Amino acid sequence: MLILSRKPGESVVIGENITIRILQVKGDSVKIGIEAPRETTVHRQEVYEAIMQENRAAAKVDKDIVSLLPSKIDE
Amino acid sequence: MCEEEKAIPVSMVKALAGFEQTNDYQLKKVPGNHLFFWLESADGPSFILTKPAFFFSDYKVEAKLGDLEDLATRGEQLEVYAIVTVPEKPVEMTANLMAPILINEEKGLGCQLVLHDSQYTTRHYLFPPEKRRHCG
Repeated sequence: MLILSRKPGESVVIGENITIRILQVKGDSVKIGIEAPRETTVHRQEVYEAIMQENRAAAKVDKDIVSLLPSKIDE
Repeated sequence: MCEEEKAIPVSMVKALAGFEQTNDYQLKKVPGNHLFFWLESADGPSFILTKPAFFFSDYKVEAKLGDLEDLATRGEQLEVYAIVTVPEKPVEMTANLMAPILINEEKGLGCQLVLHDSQYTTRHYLFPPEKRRHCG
């Protein structure tokens, strides 16, 4: 892993199109700004992993389940 | 009841997380059921979707116009769906409100939007606790 020291206001450039700027350091929290092309998705890692995990869990659905789905909200 | 439900082709402008190998899906109604939909890909995953509005009346999706640029231009309609996870006890099914599926049905385009700073999670029960206790 490449490790760099940066101060608030300073940036790191990744490739040609991605810039990460350190905006604020406060206690144990760092605020960063990310500029990236639209086709590059940027997520908090734990959020991305939660969504990937949930998508995979949801895709395991059995086709026969439809007979068990309620067709009205108040039954 | 018996009429063939029409499928809408939906091309994801970005792959769904965990399913990068395919972007092509078909959206169709679950036959005889107004609350649920299938989002299926030929060789890949199938999902059950619902419209959050059916179950969560105050659900709101806020997005910057720029985030939706690939999906729709001003004035075009986007339908909001949520992926449903059905566990062993179907009555405990949950909807992923943190990452809804937005679909431009006219253009056949879709994407999973991540609501970064919302209070929503990936698992919201569709049914209240009373119902989850008594059924399933």
